[in-house]
Amino acid sequence: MSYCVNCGVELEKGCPDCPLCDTPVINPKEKPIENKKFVYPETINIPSSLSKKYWVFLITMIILIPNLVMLILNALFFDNHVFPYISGGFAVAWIWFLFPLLWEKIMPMLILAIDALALLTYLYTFRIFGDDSGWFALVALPVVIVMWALGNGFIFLFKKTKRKSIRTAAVLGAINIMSFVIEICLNMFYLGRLQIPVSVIVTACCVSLMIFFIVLAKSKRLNAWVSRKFFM
Amino acid sequence: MKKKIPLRQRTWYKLDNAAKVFPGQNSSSWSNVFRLSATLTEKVNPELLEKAVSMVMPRFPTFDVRMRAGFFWHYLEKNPYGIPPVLPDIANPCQRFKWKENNGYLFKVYYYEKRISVEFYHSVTDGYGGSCFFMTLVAVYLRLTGKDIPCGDSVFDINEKPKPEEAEDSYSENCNSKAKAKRMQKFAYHFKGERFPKHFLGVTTGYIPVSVIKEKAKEHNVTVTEYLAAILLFTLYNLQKKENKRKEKPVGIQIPVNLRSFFGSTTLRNFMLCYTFQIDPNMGEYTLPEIIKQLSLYLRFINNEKEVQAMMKGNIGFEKNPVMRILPSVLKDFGISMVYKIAGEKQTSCLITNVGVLKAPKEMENYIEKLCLITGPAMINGARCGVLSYKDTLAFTFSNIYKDPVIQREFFTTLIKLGIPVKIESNRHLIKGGEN
Repeated sequence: MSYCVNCGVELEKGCPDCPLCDTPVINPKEKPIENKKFVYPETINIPSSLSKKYWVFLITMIILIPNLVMLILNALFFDNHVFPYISGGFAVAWIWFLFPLLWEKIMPMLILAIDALALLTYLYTFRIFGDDSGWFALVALPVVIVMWALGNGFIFLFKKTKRKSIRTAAVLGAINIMSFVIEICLNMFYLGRLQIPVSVIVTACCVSLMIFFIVLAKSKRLNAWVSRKFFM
Repeated sequence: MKKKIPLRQRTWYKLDNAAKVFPGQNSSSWSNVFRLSATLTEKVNPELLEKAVSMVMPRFPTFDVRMRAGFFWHYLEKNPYGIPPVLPDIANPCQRFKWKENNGYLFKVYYYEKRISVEFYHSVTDGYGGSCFFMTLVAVYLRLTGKDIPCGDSVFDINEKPKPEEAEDSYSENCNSKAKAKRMQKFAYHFKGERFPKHFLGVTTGYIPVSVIKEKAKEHNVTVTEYLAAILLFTLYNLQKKENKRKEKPVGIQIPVNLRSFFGSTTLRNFMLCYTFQIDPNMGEYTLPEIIKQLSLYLRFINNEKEVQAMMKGNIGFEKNPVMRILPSVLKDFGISMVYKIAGEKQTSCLITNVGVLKAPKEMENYIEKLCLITGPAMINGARCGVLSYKDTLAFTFSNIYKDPVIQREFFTTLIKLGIPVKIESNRHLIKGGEN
């Protein structure tokens, strides 16, 4: 019989390493057993279950059937073109929430790109069927592109660090950038000139908070002081 | 093969009070199960084992059932599908139960080399009922292999008619208290780590000489369960301390207790209650002797008929509540599943269940090398432990959903330091990465 030199427990005969601490078993007096049968068989059984694909198919059918019926009815009997917007909304929701479930391995950046493309296509249908006053090129397109870029930045950063203060600073930075982009785009579209009064206030708040969180992440002393003063 | 049984002849049972919550907790990857295993002296013959199962079934009508969904509650109905299949054993035990798998039976029979194992879904029975069924099955199997095994102790006479009291719902028969016990405790510490993938469970059994552990427990004037539970609690208490948290959470342990001795019940269905004991590290440093003393005093204080009645009354209140009664079972299941996921295991850090000494007739003991009890996986608890004593060996089995075996390592090394020898068996090397 062998004992683990690390934990002191007696081990099963022929056991290659200790199940508690993975210390290899080297016992010159115990000859290796050929075709050793362990206490448990090697067969691993994974019970069958309803796959995610089944659920995606089921929900797709539930969404698809009424949408198709309504689209046909809309095309035949009504001429207000409202329903394509609703169907388009469902299509975007399907791409956002159900499409990723069909993937074996989730690739967040690719999914985000597909989501952004779906949203832009959906917004473009409004431009085709609705008015063409330039809102798509001046507002929708830059806002979605910046959101997509920020999303990629978050995925990259969240993989790199788990520190809450750095993540919070990144969220604040993103809010700041978004406020600039939205305000610039809206003002250029409605007023035709560059004006950023709201974003400056948002920047003042966000930047000061960002500096606080970055310093908090860097300084252990400040971190200790904050946790002492603001414990809940 | 399905036999058409006329509706009037389909015996059915209401689920007992404890069993009512288990269907709601059931999910595609988790069920409340436990497993009993016996390692024999000879290799198991699956054909004879199948025959033994078919011979045992008529004596245990409460096991010969399938789960059915009623409008308001689930219920158990006589199973028309012959007998459950006898399956080759697997490395990842205690998997989830689906009502339509396994011929609808709520227990699974496995064999591997010299070992027979039966996994029970908790709605059917508890540790006591399961052990009676299991020991009778093993005895009948041994008889079929030509051994002369008498009846007695946990081995039932299969030629005898099943007794009505074995199928009774002992909760409603025995609960007559007017007081309800309040059982809300603080949310407890939980070990966190990388989990095994779905359907995987790390099982580690430590075999300990009963005489040594009894002697050690006697030094503190406590029972073996109290002693082992205190060491487990001490292990988790130390693990939390190593995490260096600013505010430590209480460390809690859940101990299911067999209620048959209080009420003289002989039911083979569920009849147990869970006691929860917590220590709060914020009160100060705890030593092992302190925990042993406090745990033992707590259990002795609470372990009396009146307290048990009040706890039972509290549990029964759930099924007697008029609002709960009129809710469709689908909504009840959803509610139970949500409550269990949110708060079910929050008050305890671990669970230890001791079915005690399993006695078999002398003639049978010669053919059984060892017995062991495996509790099913927890949802968040790092340790669920099953304890069973047979002859002079106590089998202490950890069921762990986390890849890192730190809890069992600390527990067993504590025993070694206390001078208690431990022999280890595990399936961890087979499921290490969680890959198949």
